[in-house]
Amino acid sequence: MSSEPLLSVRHLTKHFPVTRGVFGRRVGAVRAVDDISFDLWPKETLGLVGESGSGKTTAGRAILRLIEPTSGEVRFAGRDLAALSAAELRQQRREMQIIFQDPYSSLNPRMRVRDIIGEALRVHGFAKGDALEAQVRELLAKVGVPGAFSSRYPHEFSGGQRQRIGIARAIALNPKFIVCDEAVSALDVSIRAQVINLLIALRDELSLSYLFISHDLSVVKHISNRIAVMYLGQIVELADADQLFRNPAHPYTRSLLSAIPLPDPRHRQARVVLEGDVPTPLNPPSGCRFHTRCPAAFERCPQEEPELIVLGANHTTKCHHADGLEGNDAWFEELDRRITKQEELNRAKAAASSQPAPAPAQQSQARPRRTAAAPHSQPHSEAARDKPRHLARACVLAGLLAVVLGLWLLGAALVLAAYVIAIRKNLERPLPADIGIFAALVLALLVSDAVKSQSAQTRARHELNALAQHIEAYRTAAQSPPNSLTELGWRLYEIFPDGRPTDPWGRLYTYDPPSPDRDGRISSEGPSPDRKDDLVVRIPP
Amino acid sequence: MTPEALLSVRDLKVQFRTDDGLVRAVDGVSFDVLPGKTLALVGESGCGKSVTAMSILRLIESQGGIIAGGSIEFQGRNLLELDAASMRRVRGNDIAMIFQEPMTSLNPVYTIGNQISEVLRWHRGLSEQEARAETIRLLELVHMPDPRQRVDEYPHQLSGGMRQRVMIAMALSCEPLLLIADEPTTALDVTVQAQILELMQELQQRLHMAVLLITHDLGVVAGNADDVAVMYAGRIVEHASVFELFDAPKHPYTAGLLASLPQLDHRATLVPIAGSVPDASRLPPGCAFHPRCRFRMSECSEKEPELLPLKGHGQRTTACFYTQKEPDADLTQSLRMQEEEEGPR
Repeated sequence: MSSEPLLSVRHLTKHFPVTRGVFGRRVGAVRAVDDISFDLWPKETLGLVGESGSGKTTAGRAILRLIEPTSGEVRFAGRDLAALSAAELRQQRREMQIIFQDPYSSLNPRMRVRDIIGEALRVHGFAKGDALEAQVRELLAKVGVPGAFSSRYPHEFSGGQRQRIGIARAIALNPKFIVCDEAVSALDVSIRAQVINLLIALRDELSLSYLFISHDLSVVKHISNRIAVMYLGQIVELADADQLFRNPAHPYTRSLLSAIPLPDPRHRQARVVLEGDVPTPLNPPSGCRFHTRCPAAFERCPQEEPELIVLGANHTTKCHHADGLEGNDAWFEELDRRITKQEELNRAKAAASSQPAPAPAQQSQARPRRTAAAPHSQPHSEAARDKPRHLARACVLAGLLAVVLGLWLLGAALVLAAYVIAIRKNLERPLPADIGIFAALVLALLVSDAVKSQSAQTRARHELNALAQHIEAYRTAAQSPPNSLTELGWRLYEIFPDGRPTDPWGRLYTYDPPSPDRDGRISSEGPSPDRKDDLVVRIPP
Repeated sequence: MTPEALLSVRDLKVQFRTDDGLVRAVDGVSFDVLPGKTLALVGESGCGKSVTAMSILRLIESQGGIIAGGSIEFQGRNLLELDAASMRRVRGNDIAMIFQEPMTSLNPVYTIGNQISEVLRWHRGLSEQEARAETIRLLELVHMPDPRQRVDEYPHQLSGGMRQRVMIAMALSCEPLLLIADEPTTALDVTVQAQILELMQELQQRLHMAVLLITHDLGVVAGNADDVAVMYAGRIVEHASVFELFDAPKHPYTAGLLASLPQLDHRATLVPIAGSVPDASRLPPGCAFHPRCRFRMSECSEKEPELLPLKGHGQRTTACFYTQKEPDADLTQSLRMQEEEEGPR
């Protein structure tokens, strides 16, 4: 091995925020990956094992910056990936590739195999035209797919062949490092062995380094040089593959190993069956994260988080039992003795505390449930939290009632108050959301309606007033008829300085004055309206 | 036919009509399940193991399957001749089934208590209170933590392992004589899988049930089964006790499966089976495995081998011309040697 690690991960952390409500209030974080560190050497395969939810996939993606890590450092061949610009990162990605689990969804069904594999070559300017086709065929031959299939579509292949195509795509750019994310988990046993053998052959032929992520311990053991065991976002043990299986140090590793169903019917006994399930990473247990399920947990475990303890060359673990065993040649016997002793002690204790399930089991069950009910970590008692919630709910209902009764302003104020209470008290589920939205809608409708009708009424009143004034003016005018057309004109101008008024439908009010005839007398017949539909206000002389 | 068999399937044939023509998903399968024993049906995806299980409960007809022949005798009655009402009594009462994906097998809008009591009230005629008490007892039996609270929870509030416990509780509610477990732990994590398998073994002993375990995982088979039937392309290719099978597989397919598993104690090269499982609508002539077989002979592509007892090996049977000719050949050893000669790929 060379002196410089190819990949060096330090304190890598990825938290996914948990948000709630319309405003995306942050109520917590899923601590998917929490401070993991390891090195990967050239030509080495590091296995990353863990149960679902342990953060192994997130770790793989955060390393490639396929998801942006929250904090921590990833150095690839000496360069800090987080500091790279988008363009530099794209260049760097030639050297870092990924193979996905599902060979059905990771290949674009509308692209021919030639384009799936050749896309990266083309984008990075490695080859085009006939040279590209030749390279694609060469890659296909390398992964054991006939080159003539390059013009086919993914659906024409079986699962194993698709995974081979995924592998060809990953090695197209001559990478140094490949993340294999459950790359063989979806395949049948006989096909899986083919693909594992292919991965090993390619590793030796192309000097690749793998980060081999899998939940299947026997596969990981087969392909890896070293293995990291993850539990709830942390690496609890990291050791050489053979060493890990021979001398597992962490109680979690021990139970994981004993849970593997071996294809050997004579090997039925001695299972360390763990109680309970993996707790939620939303609110991981205090201290050592494994203490809720650990058969060898003791007082210290829930209180302080264990340090990383170096047990020997390439063997680290995070367990209080290993405390003080650094550099001790006989560490395994001593550790085994400590763990077994504590297990017996715990069993005895569980038996003593009468029948209802052993104590660690109860604890483990109680915890995930409590966290599920209250994801934000506020130490409210149930009653204290219920009070503002009831108040808020009452406000919403009263507000709705007020709206129905027509007191829309009061209603709006009440609903608003409910939301203020909810937000201030940080209730996780303050109000039935649909009632709130419904109330807001009703309010909005009522408000806009009220505003509209208000303005319509005001306008109508103005118009009527104006009309009344005109009529009044006309009446006055009619009592003293004008002596000439000019005077009539002036009078008209005085009455309608802005031209003639219209009614709300845009029809003109026609001023129909009794105009004088040639003799200067006023006839009862006025001029006809300008337009047919104009209103004619006739006032008898 | 063994007289003491609880379930005895003879020459079962199940077909599906598809656009590609008639697909023989199960083609002449015969096996017996003895009371209190576990028979494992092993095979890769598409080999017909789940279809066989569904046919026993006659659930396959609603999935478009046609039971084209054979008999399924349970306690002396042929299940294929029962009417719908008597079949409904058999399901749940005498034969129960648990499925791979517990989330899709549970109704999300009813509490788990509701769903278990429904079985109890239908099949055992209990009153509402009695059913509830019995439900809590069953949940205790499957080691559900806090059964009194859990009984009122909905499936989404439970983890995968707990859901599978609920499925088992439901399956056990009528104390069936036979439990069909179709990939019961495939969707679960290793540690939870160990819990569920442990639980199933414990309950099997306590209730003296027979179990038909359907799985693709040879590790699960080795740890839980008494007898094993290996299926390939709709047929049983080898049937043996679990020790016989893992000690010395006598069908090239079984040997190939075992050789392609990574070993924990030593790092040997994996010997994969070349090629892939054939399309069920276009099976090769003769023995369906012959294109992938390293021991094939000229007659393999001409006629189908029958499942026959091996000379000098007691009860165990295989469907292979090669091992019937050479019953003592060490297939695993020759596979390894051939692999070394030919090299990988």
